Amino acid sequence: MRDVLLIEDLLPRSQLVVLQHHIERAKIPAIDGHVHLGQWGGRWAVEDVEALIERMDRCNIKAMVNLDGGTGDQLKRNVERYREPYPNRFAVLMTPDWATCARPDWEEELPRQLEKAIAAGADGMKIFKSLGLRVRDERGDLLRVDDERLDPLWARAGELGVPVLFHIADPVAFFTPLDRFNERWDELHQHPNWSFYHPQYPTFMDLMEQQANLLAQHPEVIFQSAHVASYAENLQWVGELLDAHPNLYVDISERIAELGRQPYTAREWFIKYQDRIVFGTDRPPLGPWYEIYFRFLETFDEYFPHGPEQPPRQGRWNIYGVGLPDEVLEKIYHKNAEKIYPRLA
Amino acid sequence: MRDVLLIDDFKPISQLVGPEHYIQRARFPVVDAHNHLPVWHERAQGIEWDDIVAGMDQVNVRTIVNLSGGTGERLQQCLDTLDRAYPGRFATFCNVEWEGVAQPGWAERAVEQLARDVEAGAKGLKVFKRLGLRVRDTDGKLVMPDDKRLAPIWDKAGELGVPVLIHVADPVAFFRPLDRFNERWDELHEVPDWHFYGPEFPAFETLIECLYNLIGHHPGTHFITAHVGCYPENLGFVSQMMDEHPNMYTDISARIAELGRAPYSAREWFIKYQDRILFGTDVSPTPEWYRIYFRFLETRDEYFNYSPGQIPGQGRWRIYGVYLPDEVLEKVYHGNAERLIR
Repeated sequence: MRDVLLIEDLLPRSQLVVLQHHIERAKIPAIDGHVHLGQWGGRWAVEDVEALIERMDRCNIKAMVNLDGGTGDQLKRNVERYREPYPNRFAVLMTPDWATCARPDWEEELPRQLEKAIAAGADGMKIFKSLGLRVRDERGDLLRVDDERLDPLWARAGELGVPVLFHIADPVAFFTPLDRFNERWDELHQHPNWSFYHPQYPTFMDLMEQQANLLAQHPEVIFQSAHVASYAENLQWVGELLDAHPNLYVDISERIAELGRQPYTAREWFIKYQDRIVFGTDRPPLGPWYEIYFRFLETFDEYFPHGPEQPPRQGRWNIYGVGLPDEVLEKIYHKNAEKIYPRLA
Repeated sequence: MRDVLLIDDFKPISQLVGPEHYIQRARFPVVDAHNHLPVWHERAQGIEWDDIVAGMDQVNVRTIVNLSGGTGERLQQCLDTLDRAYPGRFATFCNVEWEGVAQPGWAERAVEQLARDVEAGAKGLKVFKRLGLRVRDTDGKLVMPDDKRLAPIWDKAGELGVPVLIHVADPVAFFRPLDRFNERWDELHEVPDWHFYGPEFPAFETLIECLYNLIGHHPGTHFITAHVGCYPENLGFVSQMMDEHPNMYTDISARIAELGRAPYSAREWFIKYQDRILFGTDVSPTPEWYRIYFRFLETRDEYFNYSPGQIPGQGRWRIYGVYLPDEVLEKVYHGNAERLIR
């Protein structure tokens, strides 16, 4: 017996004996609406595209939306590697080059980048969370998500009829002090630069407000807000956001830890907003995550880990399945994504 | 930021925002079928029983079953102080005196004592977990719950028409190594005495087997197993035992942490066995504690604390309500207890 125990050493094993289902294949063909397949530090996220296709077939993933198109050469390489050889299996999103914002003419330049990228084969635009947290304008000021100087960019997406997938903010706990009361202590301790609790950053609720403003300013654009609109901790709020903005879809990527610890509320939310929710993982597609996502969506299993890591990567708790009915699963797994990315239908 | 964090210091605050319901009063009158009010013990010095009753009134607890009646003189003291002083508000159970167990004549004396205690007003017999873990016969061997030498006691309880509320074993984790993989680390670290892992103790599985042998051997006796069949971690097994033994009942005391972390299974179990489950707490009879139990049984609240403390006492997790329908609640809150404990 030990007298003291460090948090990182505590890996409690559940003594519960409950039904366990292993779902290797999605019950209905799925589109992973949030994946990173690009080059990170020079290496492709997936080295072997054939192996990826095999994995997709095995898991019943009919298509993926790859968010790593960027611009220029990067986009070209992503289009050539995924979209061209497998046109119905991959969509690729571009991301504007935010370094452009240091130039005086950036307001006109960003829409041009989007237009060029769409012509070069991109299916839409991905906005990373750097917007709102780190991207600065030519004067060095933090650029707000709802800054009107970005209007031409969003407007161009609307004119081109392409979707905008954005990620704003991060889990609420990343914006609160990193102390012994922080429920994401392990993760923030692992990645201290994910803590946005600092005067240089906007508050979490400020970012949520910016998100809502952006949606209201551009009802003509189809938006996919990543990670349950970044506020999976408050499904009531997300529900109201969906009610207020018919141009909004949300993906569930990286948030089954949150959804699965409030399974009663989550199940009702899935059913109520079944036409607006998109399956997605944001996880390495060759890893063990699909089975966990399928289990969460398809079963009523209880108290199971939300990821393969020990201790759990996103918080020390276990989750519950929401056992969605087939007609809801069908929309979340692929029909809604097909509305956003019609080429994948 | 700190580089290391001791487990004792980690008190995560949930960022979830969702509906929260605080049930001030139980929806139906409640019988707390599992509590300990040892009025003869020094711990009870200074307790104002009027205050306890006032607290019960506040939350709609009609009756508390006091399982620590002891026997003989002590029992009388309990009956005088509680049962007779507050008619209908307390029901005291007697206990078996294990001293000299299995010596010639012991069983006969125990049976006579039980008869006298019931005659005096005890409403049932409570058997503590010491049986199977610590009670030893004259050879120094542990006496297991299904020991044939004890059989006359259980038969007598059946004959007298009083239930036997029995607690055997303890949480599964208490029978596993106390290492960093133990899900009850905090609690066992706090109370090392509750750790039953080692050659001097029977295995958890052995104790459970003995419990159900016992129940099977005495179909004419009503057994109320404490703490969800003494195996709340495995509701499938408990259900099977309830199917096999119609004389088996159970209380839910001190186990909402387990039930509430498997809320889908727990809800089905409550509904299926609604005629055989008794409300109970086994904690200090305060409004604060009762309200947590009510929240668990009556609401659909999610991810809430099952105890008043900041670090949950029985494992670092949170629970979910099972929102039982009224007809089930009524039985669990008082109907079943009233049928069994007269």
